[in-house]
Amino acid sequence: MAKTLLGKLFRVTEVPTPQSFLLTDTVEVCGRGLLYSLVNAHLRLDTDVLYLTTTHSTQDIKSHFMQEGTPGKLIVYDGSKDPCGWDGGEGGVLLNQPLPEIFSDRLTSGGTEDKKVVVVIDRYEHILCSQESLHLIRGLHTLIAKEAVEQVIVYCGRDTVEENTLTALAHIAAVTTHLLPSHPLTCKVVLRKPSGKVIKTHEEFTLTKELQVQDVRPVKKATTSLPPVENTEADTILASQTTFSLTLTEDQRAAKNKLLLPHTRVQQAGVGGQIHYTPDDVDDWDDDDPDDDLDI
Amino acid sequence: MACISNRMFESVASAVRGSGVDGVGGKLTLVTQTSTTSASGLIINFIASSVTADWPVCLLTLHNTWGHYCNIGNKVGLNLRNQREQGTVKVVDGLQLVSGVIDAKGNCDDNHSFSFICKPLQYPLKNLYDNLKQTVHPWRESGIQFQIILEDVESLLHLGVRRKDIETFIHYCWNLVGKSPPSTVGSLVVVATIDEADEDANLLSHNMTHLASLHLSLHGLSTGPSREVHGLLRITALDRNCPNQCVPLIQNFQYKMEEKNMKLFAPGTSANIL
Repeated sequence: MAKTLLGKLFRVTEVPTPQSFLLTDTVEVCGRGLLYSLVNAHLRLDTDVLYLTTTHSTQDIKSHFMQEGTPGKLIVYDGSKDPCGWDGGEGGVLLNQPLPEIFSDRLTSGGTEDKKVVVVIDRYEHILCSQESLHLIRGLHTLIAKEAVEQVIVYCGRDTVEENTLTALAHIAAVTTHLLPSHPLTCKVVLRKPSGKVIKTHEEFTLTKELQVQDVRPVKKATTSLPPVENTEADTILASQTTFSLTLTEDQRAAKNKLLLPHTRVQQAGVGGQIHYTPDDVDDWDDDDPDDDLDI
Repeated sequence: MACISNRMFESVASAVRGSGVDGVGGKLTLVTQTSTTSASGLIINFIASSVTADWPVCLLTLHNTWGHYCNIGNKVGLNLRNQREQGTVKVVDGLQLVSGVIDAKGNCDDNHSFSFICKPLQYPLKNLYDNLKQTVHPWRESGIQFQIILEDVESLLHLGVRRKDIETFIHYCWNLVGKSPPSTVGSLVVVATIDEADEDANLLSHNMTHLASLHLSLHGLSTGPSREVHGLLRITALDRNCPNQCVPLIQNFQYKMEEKNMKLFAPGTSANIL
């Protein structure tokens, strides 16, 4: 049984199940595998999943889930085909309508057959192209509050939405999972429990070919201090233009930090600052007042 | 690469092959340039490789003129004017269309591709999309593979189009080439200019990068151009059909544009160093 937070969340063993789940990635790391892993876990637990896709077609999405013969049903709402109705609006989902209306066929009273469902929004920023941020957040609130909904999973890019949108999303999410570009892969997770307790973790993991989250463990302190991406890029570009090394290896950095400079040794010995001067035999001592010309 | 052939810069084609991801089968390829670099050479090579493989091309120009590409084509031995006459290359000349709207002084046709310049529209780029759709319609009908190239899409921001509308437009253009099997009929190449100071342009390019299987990024040297090195080419490849691959494969090269070739070499191995 998973003891780490990431393991619990992606095996859906966290009790109670968080009602809203925000998963974000960047251009440097793709979180789609994690999203599919979470959806698979729900399907295995016999939970029906209402999946709103905005980039991949229905066939594409189904091809990643249907092979396992999971007990839960996957119902795909294809918002990639004709999101704004430019092609006549036939056969696809229009993304300019409020979120609860998109799923209204399954979420109206009696439509869910007393079985709770999971709603997936893949990807949030593409729906933002068709409606205002405020309306979308309001729609998300309504969805989360619905009794028939067990969890709403929102997948979006941290670098594709404006900061205030991301803040608003993180504010309403019970779980926020930021996937980071590192080796091995790591996630920064914030879980807000219904009791008000907030748990923050930074955990590393591996994603298998079967899209299972495995080998989850807390990130050691040494690996958490990743340099900012901009610096890494600048260093890479700069390093590629020089024939000598501009960076330090871990061993070199440790040796540099250990090195004690002579003045530091004296300071640490607690001797204090003293000036020793031994006059020369031929020193030219001047008996005149050196400040005579100042008329003090 | 949208279509790799012997007309492609061999060095670039080889580097792309090394990434294990091609740009065919409805995939999106993103090409980015900066103010100090130009992707015109790469665009010509996308066209050349497609034409050689008997794939027709639809080019939407928004920044450079059609004549600009004809001149570069002539240098690499590709007569684009001939190709256009034969119907292998179709051009939607954005600059000419914009000029037409401005000359009409507010009396432009409602269905004009750039009518949003005269009057506010709910979907300003729908007419331009309809124009492109009509252009590639015969190819779609006959089921032949083709390529759409959208040049300098962030230019639309300067015409007052919102970023969200551009993203929707690109999404629809991607649908035209059939982004998912078995309906794939081509490939889409989007060219954009990176400007760190422009937040909308940055968000737009990030959004495209999230969708692209291949990203060819041209950067200038921080020390300025040199005789032997004109800039840096970064190839980022991510197979979107393999969700367990989370981190893209990145290859960094330095390049030098030659008369008919783009010479690639490992960083620090240019002729003036070795």
